[in-house]
Amino acid sequence: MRTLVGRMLSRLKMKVIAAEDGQRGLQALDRATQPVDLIICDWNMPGMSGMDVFEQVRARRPGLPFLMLTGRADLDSVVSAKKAGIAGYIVKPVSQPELQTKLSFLARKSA
Amino acid sequence: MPPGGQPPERPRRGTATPFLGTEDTLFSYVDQLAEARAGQRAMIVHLSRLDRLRRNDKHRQIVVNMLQQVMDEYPGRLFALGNGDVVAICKGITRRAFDETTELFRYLFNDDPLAAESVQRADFCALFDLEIDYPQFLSALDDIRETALRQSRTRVTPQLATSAVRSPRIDALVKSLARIDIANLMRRQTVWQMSPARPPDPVLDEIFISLDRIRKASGVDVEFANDRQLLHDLMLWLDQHLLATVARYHASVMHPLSVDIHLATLLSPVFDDFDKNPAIVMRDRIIFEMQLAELTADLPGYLSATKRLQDRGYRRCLDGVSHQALLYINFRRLDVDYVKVVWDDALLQSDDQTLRELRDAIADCGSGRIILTRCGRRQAIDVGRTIGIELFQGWQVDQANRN
Repeated sequence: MRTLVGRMLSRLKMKVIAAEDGQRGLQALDRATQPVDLIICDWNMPGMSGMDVFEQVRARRPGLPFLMLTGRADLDSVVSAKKAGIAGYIVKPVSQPELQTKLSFLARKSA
Repeated sequence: MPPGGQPPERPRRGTATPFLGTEDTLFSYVDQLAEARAGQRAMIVHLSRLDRLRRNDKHRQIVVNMLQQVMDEYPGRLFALGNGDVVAICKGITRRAFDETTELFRYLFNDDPLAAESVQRADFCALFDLEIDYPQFLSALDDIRETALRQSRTRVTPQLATSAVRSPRIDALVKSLARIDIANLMRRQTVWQMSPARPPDPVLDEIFISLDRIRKASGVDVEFANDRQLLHDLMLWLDQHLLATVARYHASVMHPLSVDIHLATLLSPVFDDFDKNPAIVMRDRIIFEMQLAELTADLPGYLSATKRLQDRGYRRCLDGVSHQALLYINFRRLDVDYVKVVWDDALLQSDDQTLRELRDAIADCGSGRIILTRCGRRQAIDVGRTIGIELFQGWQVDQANRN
């Protein structure tokens, strides 16, 4: 999924920093030499969950748009994500146009 | 009877597999509900008003699943309408629970113009307290019914292709078939996901019309094998019937629909008319099957048709693939959603080496894409599983799983 989404983003002419889990993702965010405009994260990952990552990102970079890309389509998960303040939520599988419109929305929202 | 009587039937409580009623059952349920409105609330989720990009099976399934969970503690019914909208009717549910659900849907679809703050919430999710708002609810349903009627009026009656070359017998055959309701001759066969650790799960339904039935129903003494032009003309005419059926039912049936369609139809204005039909609201619930023989006979035509289908959001399946062809053709490169491999009893005699090669070929293509079809015996499933196949179709499979 990471590779697939990375490919979609590259096709959209976006620069992508990919990380295989939450811990490495946060390290990449801390070490990034260029501004990071958006985080896309899975909910279920080895180690930290997507929700844990979101909390950490919010502590480091409040207001940074965060998109949860997940297989979870149940009520509790959607309620949790909304309550936590996650701005974007996409249930997998995702198509490139779907990803693109969600990213445009997040960009407009954070502008 | 005033509001407060008994509901029309004992509605079911939520279960893991939501039962989805259709438009017809909704209208009859609502008529009966007139006598038992106390505590009943309804919600219409207007998925048909979402941007085309989001009008798909995934999103409807999400909405249905979430409503099912909301309604878990209350007796109620869910209905999927032909236009893609979902209707929930539920007794005892609080207005607040429905309001919160509306907000969740607005959150999930927050990139759609329909979920914008400036848009009335009721334009997306309309709520009705049926004790008070029953007339308004009926009026909203009437709008949906009117739209469905308008769509059915614009439905194209299949016409004969006006090609220069035409079998002289096709007119007589079509004239005789015009007296019959072709829909009654259609049959359905399910493709099942059958993994060892899980109960069989229906994935899609193929609808088809058997030539044998056509011959018997027409009463015309004709041997199609002896008149290839007649067969060709008839197949294109039947394609139009299948397309009309798909247009009508694809959004309201439980599983996506697949139809075997001819390349000539896909590349003709008949398909453009079908695609423009406002009834086509969920393209990813429609799978077009094309035959491998047509691919080999007209590769440019096939590539053009398959690209066209992909661009418009339909799913594609390549049918008529032998197990031998699996070993020699790179189906991954053909870029289709499914490949149908025809069961052959010769597979029962295959040696370990052949089975290994087949397993590798299937893994390479993606086992989730391969459907073993025409499974007429139990061993087909056993052999299929041995080589990594999870999707099966055939009368034996239907019989075993429906039992």
